[in-house]
Amino acid sequence: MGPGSGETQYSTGTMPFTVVHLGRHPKPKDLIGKAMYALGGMMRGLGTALDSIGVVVQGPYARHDHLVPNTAWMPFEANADIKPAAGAQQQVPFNPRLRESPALDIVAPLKKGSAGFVAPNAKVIGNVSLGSQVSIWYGAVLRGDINAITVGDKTNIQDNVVVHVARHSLTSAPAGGPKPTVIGSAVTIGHGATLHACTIGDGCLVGMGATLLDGVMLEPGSIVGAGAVVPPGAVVKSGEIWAGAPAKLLRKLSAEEKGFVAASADNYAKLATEHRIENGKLFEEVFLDAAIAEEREWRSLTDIDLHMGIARDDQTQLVLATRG
Amino acid sequence: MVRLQAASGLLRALGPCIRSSLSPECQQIAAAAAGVRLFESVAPAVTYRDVSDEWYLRQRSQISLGNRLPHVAVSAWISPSAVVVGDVDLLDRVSVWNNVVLRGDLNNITIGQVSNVQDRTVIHAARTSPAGISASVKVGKFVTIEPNCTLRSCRIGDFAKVGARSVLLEGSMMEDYSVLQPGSVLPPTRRVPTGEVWGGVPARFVRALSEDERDALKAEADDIRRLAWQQDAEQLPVGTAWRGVEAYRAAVVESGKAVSVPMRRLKYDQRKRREDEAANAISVAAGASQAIK
Repeated sequence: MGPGSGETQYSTGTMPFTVVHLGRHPKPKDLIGKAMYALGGMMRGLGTALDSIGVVVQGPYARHDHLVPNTAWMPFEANADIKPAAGAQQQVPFNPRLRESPALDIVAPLKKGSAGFVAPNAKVIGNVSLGSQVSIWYGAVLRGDINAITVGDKTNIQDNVVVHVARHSLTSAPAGGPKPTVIGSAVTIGHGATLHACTIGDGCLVGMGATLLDGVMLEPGSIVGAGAVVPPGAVVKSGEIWAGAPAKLLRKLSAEEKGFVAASADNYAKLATEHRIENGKLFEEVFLDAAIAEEREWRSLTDIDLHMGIARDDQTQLVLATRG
Repeated sequence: MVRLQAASGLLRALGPCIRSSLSPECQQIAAAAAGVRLFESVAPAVTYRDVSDEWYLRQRSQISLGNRLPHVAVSAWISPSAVVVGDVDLLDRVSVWNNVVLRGDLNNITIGQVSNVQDRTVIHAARTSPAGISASVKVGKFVTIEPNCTLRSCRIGDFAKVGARSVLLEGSMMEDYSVLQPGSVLPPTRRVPTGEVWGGVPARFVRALSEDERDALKAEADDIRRLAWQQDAEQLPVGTAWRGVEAYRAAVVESGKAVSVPMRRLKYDQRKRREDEAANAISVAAGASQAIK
């Protein structure tokens, strides 16, 4: 550990947010600089105080800004009736500042391993269990409030997908009552799909904008086409493609298509790593990256080496060429 | 030019048989030698914070991946809840509405002037298209994309309208002045000709557009653009919630609990290490190819 080591990766603990310096904030050294800094600081403090007074004067009509809470990993009130349960049950004090505070049963989402990607503006709420290498993309909603959602390994749930569960069901299933939403492993759920209390087997593909209603069962290796609306209780057998609204059997999968579905899950797992790294950066590093990118863009516009007649060695030339 | 000569010399040493087995970094350098500029993937970061540890929403509106960065016109408006990732070009007076996802991580997305991408639409560009044409998304000017649409590697001409909740699959195309009815699915490589209304699952010809309807298309896009201008005026560039955060941050720094990270130094070390590894791999590969010959 220490400056220049370059080997350790700085990850954060359980602080609400990390405070990281990009070097110390410059402070004035000369007398006039110090005086101006102090004067400016007083004026800014006065402005803040004036703003607070203004908020009070505005009364009930004042506009307050709040920080939006994180919904990408949100606990929900626990319900003992949900079986089989998903997520991690916890008991937290209702008000941590009170010494004797009643306990609150909550259930938080659960995930295996750290290789998965959950987009910061996704909504993973309540009884949700994610497998390893699961990617939940931007704007996806996994609302496990009244029943459980289980997602298998290497599955990707793409942008703006809504996965919800049902408490009651129209059809009385063989097991009795509504089934939780179970999504198998290596499943690809395309953009904008809507899943409601359905069971999806391993290696399936749900097309973009498809709607799967209550009790739909996708056996392993089946495909639901884009824009399809699968009626409640339908069973899509292995190797079938269903499409249309209402969805009907279209044709059987070819061998090439089967390979494509498997490759899709692998490709998305790799792509998710990039997004996870980029979205996990702290603000200071994002700021630094933007400064570096601006510098590079400026350098690419002006060919300094060419203008100055500088000829660099082969390796450096190639590296600079890659950098653009 | 000295640069090109050096590059071509190294490429000859590599040989075509080695290219496919190279690591991504070596492929980049080899491609640069051939004069092709590859997109860089995001470099491993120096810092990381898991989203499950966050207390507050930390989604950024515009996200760059390596050197794939969004270029947004000054007059364009992006809703604070929208996400624009990767190589996305938004031209003048484009409006991107709430909960939209424009994902240009694999290919380019270009939205033309005065177009609007309304709420909860997802536009994604695949790496390759089965049609054989470019898999980038090109949306023309004065295009209205209604809410809840999904577009993937498609091409839309000028003055078109995509109905609500419709899906445009890879390689599909909508020519100028065409309309897609709400809830329709345009199959791969299907093309909607100029001045026609198509609809259904899969989309089929419905009727032709009248002259008045054609003129109305441009006015509709302009109306949405005016709405977006009103939204933009209502939103302040920064709120006041940052004050409490800054006060807390100052308190943590004062109490000495802050961690000082030499981030620029770490990033430089990381990049240097990756370039050294890539250079070693090339020299090893070059040595191996020489040995084979």
